[in-house]
Amino acid sequence: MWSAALVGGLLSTAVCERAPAQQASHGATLAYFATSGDRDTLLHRPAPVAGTRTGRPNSSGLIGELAFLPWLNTRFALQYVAYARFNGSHDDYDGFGRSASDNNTLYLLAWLVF
Amino acid sequence: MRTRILATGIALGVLAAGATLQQRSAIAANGVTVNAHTIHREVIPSFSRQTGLACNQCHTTFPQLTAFGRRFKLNGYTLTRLQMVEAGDTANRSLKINLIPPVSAMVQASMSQTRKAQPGAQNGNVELPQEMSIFLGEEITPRVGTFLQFTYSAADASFGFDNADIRYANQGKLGSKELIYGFSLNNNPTVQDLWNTTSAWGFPWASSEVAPTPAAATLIEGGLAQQVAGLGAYAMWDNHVYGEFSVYRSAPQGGPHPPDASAENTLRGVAPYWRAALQHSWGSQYVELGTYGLSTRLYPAGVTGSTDRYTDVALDAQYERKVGKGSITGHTTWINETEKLEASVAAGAATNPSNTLKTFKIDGSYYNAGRVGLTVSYFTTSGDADALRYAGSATGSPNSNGVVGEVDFLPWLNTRFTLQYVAYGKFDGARKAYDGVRNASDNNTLYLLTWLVF
Repeated sequence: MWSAALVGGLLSTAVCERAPAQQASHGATLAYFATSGDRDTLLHRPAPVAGTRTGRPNSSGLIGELAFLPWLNTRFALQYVAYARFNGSHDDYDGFGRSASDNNTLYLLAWLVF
Repeated sequence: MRTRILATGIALGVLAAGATLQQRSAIAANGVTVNAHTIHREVIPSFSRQTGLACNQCHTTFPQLTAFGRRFKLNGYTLTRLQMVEAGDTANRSLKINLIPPVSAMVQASMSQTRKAQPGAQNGNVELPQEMSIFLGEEITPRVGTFLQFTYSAADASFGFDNADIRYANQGKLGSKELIYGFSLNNNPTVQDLWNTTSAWGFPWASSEVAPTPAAATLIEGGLAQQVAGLGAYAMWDNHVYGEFSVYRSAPQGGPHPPDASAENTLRGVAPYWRAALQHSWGSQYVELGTYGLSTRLYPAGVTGSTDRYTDVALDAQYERKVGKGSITGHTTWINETEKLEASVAAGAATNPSNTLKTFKIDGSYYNAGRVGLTVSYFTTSGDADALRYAGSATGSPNSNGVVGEVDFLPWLNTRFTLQYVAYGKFDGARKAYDGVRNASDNNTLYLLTWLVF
């Protein structure tokens, strides 16, 4: 969650810099991520949700985020994480029937700093 | 001493944006007559530090709120005269935070003596602290304020997240009358309430943590405190009509995250909470009449299968009156809980598929000019007998009642010394041998408290 939030933070900072005295900032962030590596059926084993059927560590997906900062120290975010691949595959990635897209996540956040 | 404070037409948040505190006081002077020494519980010197106002502007005696205190809360804790860090133009601040955050603290030291010791336990229990809290209460934007409490308790021997109430407030007009409206994000149904009739800020302001207490209580009396998160919208129209609607969802401190088969008392979906109240002041008197309630579906264990359904519907009233240099305050509430216990019956934790539980509480206080006060309270809870649900009772009855008498002395506005006595007429269903052996009066409790906030 922290890393995902940080992605949004970096891009929205650019929005803020454009108009420092602006009352509110809005931002849209799009991110793509991919992790891939060697197949290892002992290191990466089947297990519900956290495991992998194929022994591959490959995951990829998109994060879309809308952020609203009504004041400089308040952030409201609506984030969606969509996985194309999760722990090696798109369908039945864990060997227990779970699809990568079952882990797609809607995330609402109110973040206040003071 | 009676102080005239509080604007009728212009809300504090608006005033806070532009006017100096003197200007605000001048504008406020055409308003409502407010008793300058009364009580309330979210008294925290954070707000005193932020506003430059003494505790008695917002509290009769802490934690009871005055009309000004209710208005300060209604306006999202936004009124400040501290040095601020600001950005943006005056009308549209993009940042407005206190240069130095107004942190405050609370320490309670107490002694509890029950009439008879609890079996196998020492009597005359002393706690230092009973509770020690740190508060972050402050304006964090021109329209958002926080009340965040972190509490260490001797019983838990740990420091944890306690009450939280984060508010946004704004002002407008509706039918040419003032409308103050806002949102509250909080973790305890009734912690956002403006009155001292509801559980979070109701009497007793403090009580023993070690003395036995009756087994049965309605859910809205703290049953979900700090275990849920709620978001609600509220509005006060013409300083007379208040309405609020919130929804709560489980947000437990500790335990499995997300809640799973090992979770307890998890809400299914969201639980609606409502509140409506009318208030009126005339001369040196003030009265509030209201209703509030909560409807929940709870999984007693796990997060699947059948649920227990609790519906709490309550009425409440508050009265305040200035008497010479002292004041009289009174609070009462009646709560009717309907319980549909499908899950508990299936789990063998209840006998009846449906039960009702009714609670009635009333308290009255007189405080003199020297802040010496006397409070008397009566409470009663009654409901259907259920041998499995109330297994600690020999009769299976949840019925309890009693009186609380309390003498208080506040030598300064931020220090409270309390001598309290709780006497039970009935405890968990009976006067005599309620658990087979122990009498209700054996749980009568003498409670001494020193309560400092600073």
